[in-house]
Amino acid sequence: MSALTDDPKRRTVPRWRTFRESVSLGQLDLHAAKLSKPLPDIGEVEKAAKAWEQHNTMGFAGDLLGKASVIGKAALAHEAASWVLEQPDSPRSLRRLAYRLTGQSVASEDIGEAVPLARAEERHARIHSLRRRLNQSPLDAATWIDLARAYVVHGQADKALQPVRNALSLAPLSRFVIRSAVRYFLHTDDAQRARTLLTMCVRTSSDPWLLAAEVACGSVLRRTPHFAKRARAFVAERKVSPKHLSELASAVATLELESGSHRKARQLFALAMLDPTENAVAQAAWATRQDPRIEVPRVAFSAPRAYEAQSWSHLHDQLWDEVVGAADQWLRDEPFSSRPAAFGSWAALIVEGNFEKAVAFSEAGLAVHHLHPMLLNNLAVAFADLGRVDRASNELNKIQGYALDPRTLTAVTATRGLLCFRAGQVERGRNLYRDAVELALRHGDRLAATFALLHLAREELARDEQAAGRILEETSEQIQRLSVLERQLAIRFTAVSGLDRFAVARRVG
Amino acid sequence: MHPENADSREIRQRPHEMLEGMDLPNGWKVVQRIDQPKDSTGGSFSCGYIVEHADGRRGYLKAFDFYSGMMNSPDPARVLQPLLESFNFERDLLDKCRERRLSRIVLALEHGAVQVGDAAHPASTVQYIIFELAEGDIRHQLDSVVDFTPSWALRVLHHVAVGLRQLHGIGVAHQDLKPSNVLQFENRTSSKLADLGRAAERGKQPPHYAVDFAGDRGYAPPEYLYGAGSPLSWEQKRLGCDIYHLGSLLCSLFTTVGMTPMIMLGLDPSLYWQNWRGPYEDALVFLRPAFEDAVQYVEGELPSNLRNTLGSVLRQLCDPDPQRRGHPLDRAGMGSPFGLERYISLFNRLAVEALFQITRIP
Repeated sequence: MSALTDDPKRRTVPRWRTFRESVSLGQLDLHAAKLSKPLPDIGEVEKAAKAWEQHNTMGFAGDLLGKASVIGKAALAHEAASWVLEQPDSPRSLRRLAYRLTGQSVASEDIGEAVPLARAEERHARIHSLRRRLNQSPLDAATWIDLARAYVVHGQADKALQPVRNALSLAPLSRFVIRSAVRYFLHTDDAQRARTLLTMCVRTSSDPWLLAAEVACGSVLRRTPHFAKRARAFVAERKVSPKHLSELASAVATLELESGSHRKARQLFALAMLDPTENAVAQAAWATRQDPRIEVPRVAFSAPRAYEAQSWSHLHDQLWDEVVGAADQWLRDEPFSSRPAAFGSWAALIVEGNFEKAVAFSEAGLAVHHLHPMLLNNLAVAFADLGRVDRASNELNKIQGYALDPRTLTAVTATRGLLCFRAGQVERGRNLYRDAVELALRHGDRLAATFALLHLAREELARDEQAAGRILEETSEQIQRLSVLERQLAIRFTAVSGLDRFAVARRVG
Repeated sequence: MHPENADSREIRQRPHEMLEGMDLPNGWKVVQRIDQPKDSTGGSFSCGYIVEHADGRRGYLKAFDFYSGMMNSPDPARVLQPLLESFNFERDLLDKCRERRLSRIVLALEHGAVQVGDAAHPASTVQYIIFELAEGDIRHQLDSVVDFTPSWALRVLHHVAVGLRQLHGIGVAHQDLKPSNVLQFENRTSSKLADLGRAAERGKQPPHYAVDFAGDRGYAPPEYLYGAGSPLSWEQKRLGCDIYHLGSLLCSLFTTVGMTPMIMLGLDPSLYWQNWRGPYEDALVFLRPAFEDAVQYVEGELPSNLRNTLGSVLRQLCDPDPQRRGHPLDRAGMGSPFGLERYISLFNRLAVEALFQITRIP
């Protein structure tokens, strides 16, 4: 049995994306006034345009297109750009420039690569290419951070430490580098180091993105953030644009929520949603699950890369066919995090009944978090449902010896019951499922108890329909006590597992 | 419109445009006018002519018009002063180059003034400079499959590097090196650096350097676009700019596009210099990956036997951080970190190898 796990305390910890992705999301541009004085316009583009009109050759076109792209008078170079694109033998660089100036996509010729994550060889190839790039350009702090991230995604977090150090020494004040390093230290359970990095940085008190990270770190350490007062003042001043304030407002709102100031939290989340980052949307959506009076406008879910928020939103809206897809996107966005893998494998099993996908999610998560109990459990369930009981047993046995939280323990106990059923040890399987139900109820976890019973009913269905019906009758009492979402999930599972043929299941639905 | 009502400024030819057919002192005769767009020198206007000497030499005459801008100004002296200062600066610089016999600089053969029309009117005196007559700039040759060969491009780089070295040797930085300022001579086998109108001379402050960078913004090194010019030393600012331009020329020769637009191609529009508001150290965080992308792209267009060598040269010459520009051995040693000697000998060797196709790597 798989179990849904939500963060009891989600924080606005910085996302860690590749440099290119962070730039495309506009997280590197600054909110301050322009420092540099502009260079004077001495009519360079006009002169180059006139020269190109006279000569009409590639050399003159290159001169004009280059100047227009740097100086920004694209209209003057439009004709030359079109001409370049018409010439079959125009140089590749010039064609790229012409594409850019005519507003056409250069994606097909773009430098860089997509982020293939599925296979270990691809992750290894990514590391190799980044190392090769750094051999040529060792002062490139952004690429050092990308290398660190690639190591973490490959499950080698320890090897990422030196690249993170290199990046910090090369660009100690860079927002991208610091936020990435903070996320790395949080990932490796070194929140103190993350916080020290932020408190020592001279720029933290004046940068809303770094302030947000510091507030989140303080919260992770269960201490008052060092810059809590400054963060509150920064939000109150509202001197920066809503986009730059979004993550900070969301972090401070979470502080208020934790301290019981729900009214302030609602106001701050409303501020964070004016032009939100996806992290702020995910945080607000999480806060809504804690306090339903906190509102997240529908439009916020369309923020770029709001996959986490969308995953939960689809679940709440019972858009069952969308949930796993959104979780897949979330995992691609945060391949080093266990949360999307756990959520995705759970959704694939419970909401979609797609065991191959559940295996893919679990294995992707386990590549980074090698012994994550819930991921191992979900992998075992998926293998069992695919008829590979031996493999399932192997995976589940890896969990032995770990202290588990009650919900995970319930799930693991139920999965052991599942494996007994599939191995023909029916009575032992029943007992284990009953143990799981008892364990869940002892901890007041009705959802887990309900799902343990539903899984038991599913196993009985293959052997004794009447027994399955009796268990469903028993389950219906539990279902009535669940929240609306939990009830819908239970009903969805009855449909996925074929239990909806029973009148009692239809009655509950 | 009746001719009497027409704007006299539109129909009246200005004195510096009326030199065709005139005999100049020292045996020069103005043969033909060449169309010349608005000049880059401090907002003044100039036009070009082909001139011939009695001894058969031919030259390019650049005639200057300082007075038309002054006529409509409420403060003519203030308009005139920077124009004259810029002209005098360039003329003195050209004299200095000629005295030092700089072989890779397009030298001034003569300079002087000639009266056109009413001698009592100040605008009737036209200042001019006569330069060596070139066959054209290298842009003409960039797209010709027949004319363009790696050995030609490497020879251009060699000659330009020598020209820069000669200028640096007399305390001058060119500051505006780009394809249109590299002129071709001797049946396009010889290249020289032209246009010292934007140059910087150590210890002098010509009016165009009221701003950090007076050259063509389309080829400007990133530190000027992103506003890191001021805290740098003269060498870092001026010589660093020149060697960036040398790398950019390498890029232009093999791709037709300079290094700065190549870097811009790898940037998100939110990080363009027009939108950037932070310090240059922060800009370097995104300029470095964009620069490396650009170099790798250029490497893909280089002949395979030159790829590694010229890729390294590009990385050294065009590093976005002006303090890290130049050959690593020069930076580590006691000499000038912006020394060009190593590049001069490298380009020479590569040009010879390319000419005889004796490169070791196929």
